[in-house]
Amino acid sequence: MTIKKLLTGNDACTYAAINAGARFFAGYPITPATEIVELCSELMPVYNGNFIQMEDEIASIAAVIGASLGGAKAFTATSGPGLALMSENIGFAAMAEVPCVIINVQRYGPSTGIATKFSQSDVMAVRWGSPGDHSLIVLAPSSVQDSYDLTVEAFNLSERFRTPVILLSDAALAHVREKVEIREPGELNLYQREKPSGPVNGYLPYGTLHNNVPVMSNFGDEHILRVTGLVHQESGYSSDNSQIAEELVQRLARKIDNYQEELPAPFFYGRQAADLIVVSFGISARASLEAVNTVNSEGFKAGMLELRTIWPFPRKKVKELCSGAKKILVVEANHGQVREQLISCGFPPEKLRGVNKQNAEVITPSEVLLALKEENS
Amino acid sequence: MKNTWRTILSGSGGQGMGMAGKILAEAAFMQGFNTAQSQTYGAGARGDLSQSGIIISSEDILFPLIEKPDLLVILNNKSYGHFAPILNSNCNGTILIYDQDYAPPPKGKINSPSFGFTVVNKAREILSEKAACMVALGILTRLWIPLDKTNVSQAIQETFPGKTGLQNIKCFEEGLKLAENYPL
Amino acid sequence: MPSDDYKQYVAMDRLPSIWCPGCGNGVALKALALAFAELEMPPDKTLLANGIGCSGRVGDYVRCHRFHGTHGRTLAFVTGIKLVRPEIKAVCLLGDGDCSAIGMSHFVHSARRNVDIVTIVINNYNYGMTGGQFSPLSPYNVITSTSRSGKAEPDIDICKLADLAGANYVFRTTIYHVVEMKNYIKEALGKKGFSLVEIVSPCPTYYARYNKIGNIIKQLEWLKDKFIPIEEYNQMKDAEKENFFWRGRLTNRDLPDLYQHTRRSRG
Repeated sequence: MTIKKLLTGNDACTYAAINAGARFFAGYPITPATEIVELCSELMPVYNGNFIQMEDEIASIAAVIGASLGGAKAFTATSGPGLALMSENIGFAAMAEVPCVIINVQRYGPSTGIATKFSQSDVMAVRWGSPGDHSLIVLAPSSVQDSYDLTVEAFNLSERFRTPVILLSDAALAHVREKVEIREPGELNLYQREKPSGPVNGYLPYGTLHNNVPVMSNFGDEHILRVTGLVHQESGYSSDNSQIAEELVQRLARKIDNYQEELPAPFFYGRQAADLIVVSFGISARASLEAVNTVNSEGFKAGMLELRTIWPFPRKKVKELCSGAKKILVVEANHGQVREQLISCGFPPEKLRGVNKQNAEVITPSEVLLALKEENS
Repeated sequence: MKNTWRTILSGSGGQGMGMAGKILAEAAFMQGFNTAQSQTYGAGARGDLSQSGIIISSEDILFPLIEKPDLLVILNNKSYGHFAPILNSNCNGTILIYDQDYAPPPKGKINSPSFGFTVVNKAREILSEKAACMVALGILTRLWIPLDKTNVSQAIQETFPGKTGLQNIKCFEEGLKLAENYPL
Repeated sequence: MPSDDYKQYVAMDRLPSIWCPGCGNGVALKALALAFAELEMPPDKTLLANGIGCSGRVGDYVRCHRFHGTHGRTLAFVTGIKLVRPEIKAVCLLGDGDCSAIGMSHFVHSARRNVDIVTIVINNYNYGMTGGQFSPLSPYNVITSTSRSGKAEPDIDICKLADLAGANYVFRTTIYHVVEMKNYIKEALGKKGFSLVEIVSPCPTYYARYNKIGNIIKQLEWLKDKFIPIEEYNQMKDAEKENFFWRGRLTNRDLPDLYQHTRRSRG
């Protein structure tokens, strides 16, 4: 059944997680993600799931990883300072290949920053917060509906790729109330992690790979599971062999980076073969789209690309869609973290104009409009 | 033909800004409009300046927050400082609705068309200052916003179950009455 | 003479271990495996979780489910596992540094929540894996590689701490007291809620060498002589107590565990 409701972004994420099958939430209250913690405390017992408020964010993500290894779909929600504390264990989840979802509601930073206010400045922190080479998946919603849809997608991808998936929300989106079509479990395509089916004796947790992803059992299942953050062999026992290390670390990247067509593709709006293209994500993409529509109604040839998967950065799609543009405006409420990615895609810096804001306020349509008009004149 | 109404309610934390915004959005939703509602988050909602923004539209809402309101409801003096850039300019078409006892507009500074009502005192008479926004909703519904009053009443009832709901509906209805004979 | 049943829990083909000659970790592992065997615990319903450090490698030599997380966080990970798989018997085997320094908060909160976990702390009074630095459990004034002129900070008694925090079961023993160790691990495995078994263990490579305790025989004699039954210890005068440590059962109660609490709150 599909139900239409008015919900905030935070509430939409929570209902989406439940409908995607999440039955475990561990978290620590932090503005502006707190409402997710509160709603989970009410809903999890109703759905026969578990809610636990841990002693800090380190313990929260640890409990989520533990629950996932026990077979549950599990998630947590946090914001900048909490994300920083979670980083080591997010790396553990990447290394040990544990599916889990982290909803990161961005607030103004660095450090404690302004707890209640908005920013989009965690783009690099979500990608590189944890040391070591690894890949992971980060999705960015731009509306309350998107918060719902991409949270469902986040669980599917985490189960499919056995990796942490981070949903990059923000303080503005978290609290704005909009109409959402809530598709219930029967209407959703839900992906469940693959379970081993072969003989119990001699089972190797990291021995059978499907599309580079191991077919792993859960703790308590008859196939004995061995999990460690150390470099490990197929058996799950640790190893310091350099060949094993190289193969493992390269596979961790390959298993995601080589399958990017399965990740949410960017949306393209406005004129094809546009002279001016705006690249944006999250709530800034909403301001951008309004501005692009306005200038196009005045005869401009402008297009708008909304990133939905932020990491791995969709280099191929972005190059394909933006290569014809004379100028690319990158609209983001940070110092230019996405713009850096476009430079690494090979776009010359002089072709890229950053429309940035760092005053804890949301970027508005008129600010994007102004930049577009300056570029067109 | 107007098809989008952007309203901001501004006052002190405790006057029910957030709740009223939510009710207006729910009523618009019941009536099949697209809607987006936002509100002050954090310390402001606990006594300082508090605001709620509601967009009601028969079209898709691209940007869900309000840059310039069509309707600005002000219930305390402090709000004038915040909205001075909008209210002082001639050309943006914002309509100002204010509490005539507690938030009279500063003389000679407001260029927007403005309309004063007894909002806060009316709410105190019936229930308490906490219901001030319900009176304001009545005024908005009667004069400016294309919502059916039964939908607003229903949204109030769903938000405040039981007796509190009835008192809040009474405040809303008083707002409708205040606006009824108002010379626009 | 114990039977060979314990070997089904040990990955014999992975031996010898990485530990130094004289280290207590292997002795503790065998005691644990013997307890598993005597209780006939099914390997697929048994989880051994480790911290980081020398004792953290115990999981490399077992055949039951094995979890090895990040430094200090093992109890938080296992809290998640136990909530969704309450039927698993979970043993967390931690070192003194892992448990009492970086992981202190999770240790206290796990005891407070009374999570159904048997926590075995192998306390060798230092960080062996990184070269013998002091931990919060190293006694006052001892020599380590970060306290060459004597540890300046006081230590803490994690047994008393666990008792105060709400653990159902607390026992302290040493590597010398092998039979006692096995028997009380077994007793802890039979309990619901949070159990702590602290096992004081020799570190021949660093701690014993720095503090001139002597060869491994001398180290075991030191454990035998210094650790006296709690009942005897409690009879001693305060001045006398300073030369000894207690061993034995500090706590044994049956308060509801976390799982019971979460189920009860559902009504």
